Amino acid sequence: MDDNSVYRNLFFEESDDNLQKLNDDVLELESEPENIDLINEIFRAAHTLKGMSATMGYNVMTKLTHKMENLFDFFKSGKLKVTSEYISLIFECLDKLSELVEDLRNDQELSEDQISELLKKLINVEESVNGTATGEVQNTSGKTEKLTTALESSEDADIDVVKKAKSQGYNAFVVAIRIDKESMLKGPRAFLIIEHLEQEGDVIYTEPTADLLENGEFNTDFKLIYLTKNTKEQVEANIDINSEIDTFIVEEFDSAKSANSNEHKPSAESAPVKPTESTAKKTKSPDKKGKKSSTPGKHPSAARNQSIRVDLSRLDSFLNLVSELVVYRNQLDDANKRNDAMEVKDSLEQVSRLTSELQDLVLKIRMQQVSVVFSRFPRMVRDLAKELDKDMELIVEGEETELDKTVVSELSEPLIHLLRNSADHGIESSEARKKLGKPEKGIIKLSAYQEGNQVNITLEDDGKGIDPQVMKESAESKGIDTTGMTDNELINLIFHPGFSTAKKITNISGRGVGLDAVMAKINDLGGSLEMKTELHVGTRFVIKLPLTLSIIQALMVRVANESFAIPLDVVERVVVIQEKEIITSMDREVVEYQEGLIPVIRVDKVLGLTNEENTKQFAIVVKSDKQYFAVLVNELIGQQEIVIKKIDTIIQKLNKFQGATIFGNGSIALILDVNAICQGKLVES
Amino acid sequence: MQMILFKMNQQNFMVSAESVEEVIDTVEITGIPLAPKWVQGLINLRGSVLTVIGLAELIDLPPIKKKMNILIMKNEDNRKGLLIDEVLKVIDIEKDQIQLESTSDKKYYIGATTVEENVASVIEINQLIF
Repeated sequence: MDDNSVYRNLFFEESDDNLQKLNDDVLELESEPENIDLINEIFRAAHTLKGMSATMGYNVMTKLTHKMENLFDFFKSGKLKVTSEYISLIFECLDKLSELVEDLRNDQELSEDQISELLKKLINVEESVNGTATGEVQNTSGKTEKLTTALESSEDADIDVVKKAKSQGYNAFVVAIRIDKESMLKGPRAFLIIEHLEQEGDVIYTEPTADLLENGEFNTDFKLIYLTKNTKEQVEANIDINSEIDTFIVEEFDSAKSANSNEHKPSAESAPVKPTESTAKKTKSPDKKGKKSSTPGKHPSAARNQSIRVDLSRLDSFLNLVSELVVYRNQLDDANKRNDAMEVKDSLEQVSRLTSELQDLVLKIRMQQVSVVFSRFPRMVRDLAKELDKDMELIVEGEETELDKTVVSELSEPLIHLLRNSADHGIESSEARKKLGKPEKGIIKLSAYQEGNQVNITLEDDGKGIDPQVMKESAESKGIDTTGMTDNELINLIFHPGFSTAKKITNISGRGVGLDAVMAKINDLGGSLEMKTELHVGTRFVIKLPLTLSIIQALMVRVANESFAIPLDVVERVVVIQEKEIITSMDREVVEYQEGLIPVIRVDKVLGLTNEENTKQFAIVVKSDKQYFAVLVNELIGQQEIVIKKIDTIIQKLNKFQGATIFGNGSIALILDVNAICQGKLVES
Repeated sequence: MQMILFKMNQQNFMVSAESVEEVIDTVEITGIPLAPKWVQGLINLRGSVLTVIGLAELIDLPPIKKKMNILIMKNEDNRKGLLIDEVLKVIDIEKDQIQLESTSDKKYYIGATTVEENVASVIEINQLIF
């Protein structure tokens, strides 16, 4: 087990990758069902997944992947046409697999129950394929009997062996056995049967493989090719002495023999089994759907993945920089010993250059492509389109754009929200679109690009846009006063907490969490969200995000005797105010700003610092949650680029600081969490 | 086992060297407004910001006058500073030299041992600070 745990992380990482790849490829397969290369690709990925889970000993997962792989095998051999129904089934499997991987990650034991429903469906498909397949002449090894299936993939080598054996006077039989459904120990039973047979001959091929048989990892049926000098009757007698056998067939192995001449008894027997299973499938499907709608939210995000893949060339340049640094460190040492001030200065200059280069590089190493998040969206939009019965397509652009890993991993939730909104409220039904003279297929476009020090992510749809009048009605029905509001203000009500314009609440976007949550999340990430909408033309959201969260521009201030940093992006402007300008209205202090009154936040009071000097103060006007606040400080020290250092959870819990930073002289300053301070103040008063 | 012997006012204490990553001389500690009283503040340890806990405040000892050393305590990937009076030395003791085990209801108190005719309390404070 210890050995296993070493590989666990690798397993999770690769499983995530493979599942993502499968998701992508299967989605592509739906639009190109004939693409055999793609099917091969999928088959490989599924096979890897199966292999990995088997190696790790996760039997439940192996079982499901095995069955799923069979489905791909049918596609590959052309026994099954790729239809959207099967694609959906595969997606269900992939979702389930993601769920299983997630459970494993959380150290939960997997149980058979988790997959029994899906297995049933897969087996159904398999049976239906093999049922219909018997009528056709398939590959040479194929058709034997109708107990359940023909041999799926016996190899040419086996056939050669059979031919050789026959020439030496052996008889070759294909034996199909159905073990009693009630049997508790299918594995050992199959093993015993095979052992009995092997006393009289050789079993050269089994289906499923001997391993799976021994572990009982098969339904009730298994097949084998048997070489013996005994006659068919003797073989039948040999099998018949075993107990717990439901039915069995022994048949000459003959690749040229037609399937039609087979006995009919077993096929009649297998027939009653099928209908019951297909009704089971029907009754199961509604609640499956209910479940499915909740799965996308649970889809494991790449965010959980705490390791990061780095381009080797970046690591190489990292090493180069570090070795250069070592050179200059030695020079410094040396110059220091010789008391050579000039030399020390030179080396220090180099060290400082290298430090900035290293800083840039480390930031680059932390960068991750937004594709990490974007890649799951096409699949999501497909599911949404199915669910909403709308025709729509997601176009993704600029997925190679890079952002800091912490930002990327936080991005998926707000984007999912916006996408759902576009799909649900934005894109109209096909009929409505036709009436408006729009193309029937709705287009949602998601693109990312870098602009200066920030990354813009836009999400636009060509849907119905937001109607100010609808907003007005909806707002009024919710008791929001809309008198005197301009169209623009009405539209922006969409960001009002708890606002939802959907008249009909759907389980897709009407969850009571409005766009205000998205807005809050983006703000948390240090970004901004803008929206432009035009009636019947579409809606466009623009998310602007900082490239990284670990280095920011900050305003350094002094309050009482302490220095603090205030992130510059929240600062609107700085004004000097006199104590007498502060007015006490009701129980809070306000100050006049741009013909309005804005609340005053005294940092010294909020932080419980004793402050002597308070005649002249600097008011830093900040914007928090669309409202201005005047944050009072004693002195402005200046503006500088600071590196955010993480702080202890004890200090985080104070909910006043978002980090700390270290100055050039080695001293430390706390970074004020302006949003929390302003909002916290509001709650108190 | 290796123990670090240190002084808090006139009392001697010991912690297992295993939980201590290094011992540094006290550096400038930046105070944190609103923090609990046993949180002394933040220090800059070669570019990392660490929280420093005052041992005296944490386990209700009289406040210390000398603040010579900070023990850098580690617990997996977390590090915290522990402000103490002064480190005396690193010594090796056997487990059975620790006496008076579990006579105290204080969980951080493991026992006491005699070192060069002085009694030292053996404490385990990682579960308190991490």
